[in-house]
Amino acid sequence: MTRPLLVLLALAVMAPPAAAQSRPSAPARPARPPAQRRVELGIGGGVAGGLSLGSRDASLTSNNTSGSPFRLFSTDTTLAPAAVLEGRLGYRLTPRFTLDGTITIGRPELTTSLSADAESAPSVDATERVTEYVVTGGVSWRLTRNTRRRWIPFVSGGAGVARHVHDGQSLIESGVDTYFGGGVLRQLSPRTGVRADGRLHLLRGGLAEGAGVTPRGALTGSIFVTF
Amino acid sequence: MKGHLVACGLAIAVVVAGATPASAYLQLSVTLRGQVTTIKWNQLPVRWFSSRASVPSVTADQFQSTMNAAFGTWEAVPSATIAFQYGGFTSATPSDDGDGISTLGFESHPEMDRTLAATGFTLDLVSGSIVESDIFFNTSFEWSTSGAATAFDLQSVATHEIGHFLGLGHSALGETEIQASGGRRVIAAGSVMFPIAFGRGITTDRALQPDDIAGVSSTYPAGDFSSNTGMLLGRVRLGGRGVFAAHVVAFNLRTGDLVGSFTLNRDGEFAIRGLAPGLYAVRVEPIDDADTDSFFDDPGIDINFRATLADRVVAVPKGGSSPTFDLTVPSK
Repeated sequence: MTRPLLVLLALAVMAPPAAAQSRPSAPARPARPPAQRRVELGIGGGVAGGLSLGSRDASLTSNNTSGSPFRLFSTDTTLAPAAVLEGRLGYRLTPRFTLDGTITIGRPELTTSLSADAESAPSVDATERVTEYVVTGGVSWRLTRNTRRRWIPFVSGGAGVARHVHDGQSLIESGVDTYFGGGVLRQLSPRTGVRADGRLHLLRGGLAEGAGVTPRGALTGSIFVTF
Repeated sequence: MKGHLVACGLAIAVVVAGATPASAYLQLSVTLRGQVTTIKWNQLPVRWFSSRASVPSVTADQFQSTMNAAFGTWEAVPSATIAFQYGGFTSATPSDDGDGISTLGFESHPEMDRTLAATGFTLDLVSGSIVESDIFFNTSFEWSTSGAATAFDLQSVATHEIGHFLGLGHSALGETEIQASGGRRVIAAGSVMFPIAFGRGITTDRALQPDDIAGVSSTYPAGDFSSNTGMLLGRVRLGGRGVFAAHVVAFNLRTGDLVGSFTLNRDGEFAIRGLAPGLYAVRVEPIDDADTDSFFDDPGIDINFRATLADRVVAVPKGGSSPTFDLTVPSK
């Protein structure tokens, strides 16, 4: 799903803005308003929430006719909240509607709690640091007209890929990340602004394989410039 | 070829309440000219014959069809290339070693009062190839093909023995308890190749478990098996030295599959092959100390340490191996 969106975004960026096609020889007509800046480039950071990746028992088959499970030990796996860096490329199709391509990078800790051992091995938390890349394409819709010196609320949604690279790059897991959320932005000058995003991400597959669709929150803030 | 043949007398048995587990997903091997060589069939399909011996509860035809089903269970593993061919009934017996006929059948062994069945091999001592393997099922026990509550399930025990027939050793993926009679009773197992049989009337060992599948697939890999699976490498250490014959279990956090192996040298190194790519929790334990030499012909087995859960998870890649993983265990 990400790929078509990003292609669309790239095509949109390459197309010349319609407002630039004015005829140079037009005499003595009223000055046009400045061309609308359509491309937004943002960078920022924030926090991605934790993920519960589920509990699972390491089980043997019991010596009975039903073959019921015999627990050797239990596991419970979580991905800890982590700081993330965020980059965003936006293209404003209309004053209120923007296509967004976003990448966030973090280094969360993956923790698996091992407990309830059949031979009383001490419980431990097994940890590993993973590098997380989330690349998404989406849209945002400004709820009010763009007005300077005023916070503008917006809603957003999209989908993409979440990749988790394990220690030593020995294993890369990719899942589908879908998000929706919203936030506020404010134009600080004709070319710059700030933006705060809150999102609910739903991860399916990849690191969350076997755990179904797992939700997590994310809060980011960024500054952006327009071209 | 014949000049290289030898009847090894190497017999692997499944027992009832008698022995101790040692190795999970262990490939049988012999030392040939100083080289440790995994034994396996090099010519497929493997032809087998059925003896005409029967017991009151199992006719010769029932025996043959039950063996056929057990062979089919191994043959159906998609990641392995093993294939069998039924050759017919034979007048040979499983005790006829070196006759070139792999025979399965009932035999009376009253002196083996805790052995349900056993497998023997004839090997080519140049290549390590199995050229004959025979399995007997002890008529001292009551057998059933229908899961009768008073008898041992013939297909379950046959599935175990055919694992040996293919060159697999015993698995230690299981828990036992000492019985008042002195033997051991299995509480639970995670592999058909666990050495102690389930109780009478229990048929769960007709189906292979992930440990069995990893073992047969590593021995007889299908074309893409090696590229689709990975290997977990590591060392087990105690007080700064390697631990020999520690039982290491890898648990796939996504699929729930359990696959085991052993540290097989004095540096405490182990390698578990044939793992689905993913994240693994690792557990190490000593083999049960009641009868360690049933599985390792070595007096240096380390059992003086406690079961330990590793404090990190290990990522196993597709077609490669994990970074070497060190685990220190505490002494008892």
